[in-house]
Amino acid sequence: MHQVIVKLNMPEIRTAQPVLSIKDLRTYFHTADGIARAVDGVDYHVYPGETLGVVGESGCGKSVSALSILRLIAIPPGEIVSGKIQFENQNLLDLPMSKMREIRGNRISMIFQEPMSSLNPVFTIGYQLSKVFTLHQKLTQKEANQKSIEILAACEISSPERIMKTYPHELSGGMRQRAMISMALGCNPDVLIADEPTTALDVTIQAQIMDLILRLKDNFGMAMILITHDLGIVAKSAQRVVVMYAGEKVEETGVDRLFEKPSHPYTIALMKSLPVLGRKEKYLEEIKGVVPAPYREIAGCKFADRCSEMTTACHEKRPQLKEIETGHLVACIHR
Amino acid sequence: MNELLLDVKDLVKYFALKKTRLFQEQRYIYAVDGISFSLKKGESIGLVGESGCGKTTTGRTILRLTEPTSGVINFDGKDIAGLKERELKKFRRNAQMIFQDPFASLNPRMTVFDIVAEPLLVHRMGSTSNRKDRVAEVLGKVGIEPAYMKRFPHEFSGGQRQRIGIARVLTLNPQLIIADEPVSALDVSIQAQIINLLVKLQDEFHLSYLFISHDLAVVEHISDRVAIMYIGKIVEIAPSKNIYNEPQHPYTKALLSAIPIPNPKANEQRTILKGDIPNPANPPSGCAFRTRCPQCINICSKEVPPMIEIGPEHFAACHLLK
Repeated sequence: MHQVIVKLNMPEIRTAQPVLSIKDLRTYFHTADGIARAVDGVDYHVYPGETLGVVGESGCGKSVSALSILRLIAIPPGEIVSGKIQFENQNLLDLPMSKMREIRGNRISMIFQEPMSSLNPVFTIGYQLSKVFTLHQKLTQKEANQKSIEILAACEISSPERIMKTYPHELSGGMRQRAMISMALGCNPDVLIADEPTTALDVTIQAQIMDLILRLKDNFGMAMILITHDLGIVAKSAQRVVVMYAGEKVEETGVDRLFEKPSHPYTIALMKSLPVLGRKEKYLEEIKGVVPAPYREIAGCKFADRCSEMTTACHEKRPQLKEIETGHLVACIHR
Repeated sequence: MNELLLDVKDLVKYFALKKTRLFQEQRYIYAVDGISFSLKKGESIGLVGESGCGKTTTGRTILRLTEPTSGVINFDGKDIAGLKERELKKFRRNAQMIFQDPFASLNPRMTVFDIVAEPLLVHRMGSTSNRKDRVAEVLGKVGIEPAYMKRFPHEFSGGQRQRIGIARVLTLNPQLIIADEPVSALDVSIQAQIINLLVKLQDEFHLSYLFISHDLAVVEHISDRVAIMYIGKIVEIAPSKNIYNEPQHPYTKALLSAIPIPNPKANEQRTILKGDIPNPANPPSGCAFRTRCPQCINICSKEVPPMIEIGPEHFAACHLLK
């Protein structure tokens, strides 16, 4: 474990132990095409009160790593081959499912990308939300309803009593996501995993919801793992960032440093390929090629074929993470 | 660049809602509610807005994939809105569409050759052998190995599929391409490839684009001018650098400030709009944006703001700008 000291906006969390850390996690899927190594040896950790951004493109394993934390991977075809998920002196991967259910939604909870498909369409918001309290806090239905209304109000839903009686399809995307957030925050979890929480929403609604999540996170004093493909959202919300590519962590550092001095060729290329408002160039700098298929066996660096700094050495051995600066890890042999 | 290609005037498209009760009054969704703009040859114009603002309907109505309720669509001096079937087909040879989802817009049971050659068949152009040449030619233009033309769409990645969709559009050598969210289903690193391809093709074939997207950064990059839509209306239209440097309409300003900038040191002054986008079946009276506008005044609920000229080619519709 590297005890990283990074320049953070919130100084009080510097010395603390991570609240959650995953170590050498490997989650594979057995598919008809072979073994898809969705997460292939990933480490990350999050400190109390901190926001860790996990960035990458689709298929890089960012969501699968989060689902593995909560053990929500369907087995089969999935399999958590190895690794450790350390939460409060216990390895979550060793727990029986009954114990896992006590943690899920209670101590560690998750906000999913598409609120329409993660809420049950045949039950009212009130029914689904109050379940959190009757299950985890053993409240009576009446108390649970009261608490649900309070938490909906905390998520800035204007008439919570009415919303309790509605079904998911009656709400707008933004409102549904607020209901999801209420559900996730109901038990005041230690860690909140937000998996692309605003991707399905419109820009102005996205700004509202992101703002709400960050404020609530600070009020409740939670740690957050924010999974997103949007570097803009990470820049605004996270203190530390992990960049993933094809199932591996390729870079990790504090957010300011990541944007000032990105170091892995993939991170650099990704940042350059974004169209930025107010900076008009005729052509964007593109990353050639595509992400390698997850079942392809690659001995060397997985980014090598698309990399502008590629040499023959890149194809020989998987690059190890190197600490090029305190708290700044990069997996590239050229660094 | 100064010749007018497309001139849309007061385009209106209402969708009738299903009646749920007997003797119920007919209600409509006001998807496109009187918009006007023009597009010159070789120019690209971006249409930006949030979901439900009518940007896709605008694109589809211009190609008459949905019939306009009223309004004039002048294409190269001819009114498209009144064209009969045969004439319409001729027009569509010159105006083509790229769709958002490259997984849904290519028939999985057709080979790449069949997909890209289909426009030629529909328009009865070319013989069997020169169709093949033409397909190979356009596939080369979009960066797909012509040897792959016997393959099926599922054998390609999302970015490659979008390239195939673009090749299909190019076969007929159109003047106008309507691109409906062509990159929003793609990953960031692939998005740049497709945007660059579109820019390159525009230069090479002197194309005009109507580029529809919710992503202002992408639109600003690719377009000469940008039109911002909100609930069926254009609220501001201007050269793309003006939209960014001197936005006039409060909605444009809010939209700009809502976009997360990939720089942690970027200025933190954000206007976060309150509330949801109103239902286009029941838009607010007067200015449709007034329910969320931070600067709403008395007149906003009473009168629809007219388009006001602010500078060269820069128009906005807001009562505060008088």
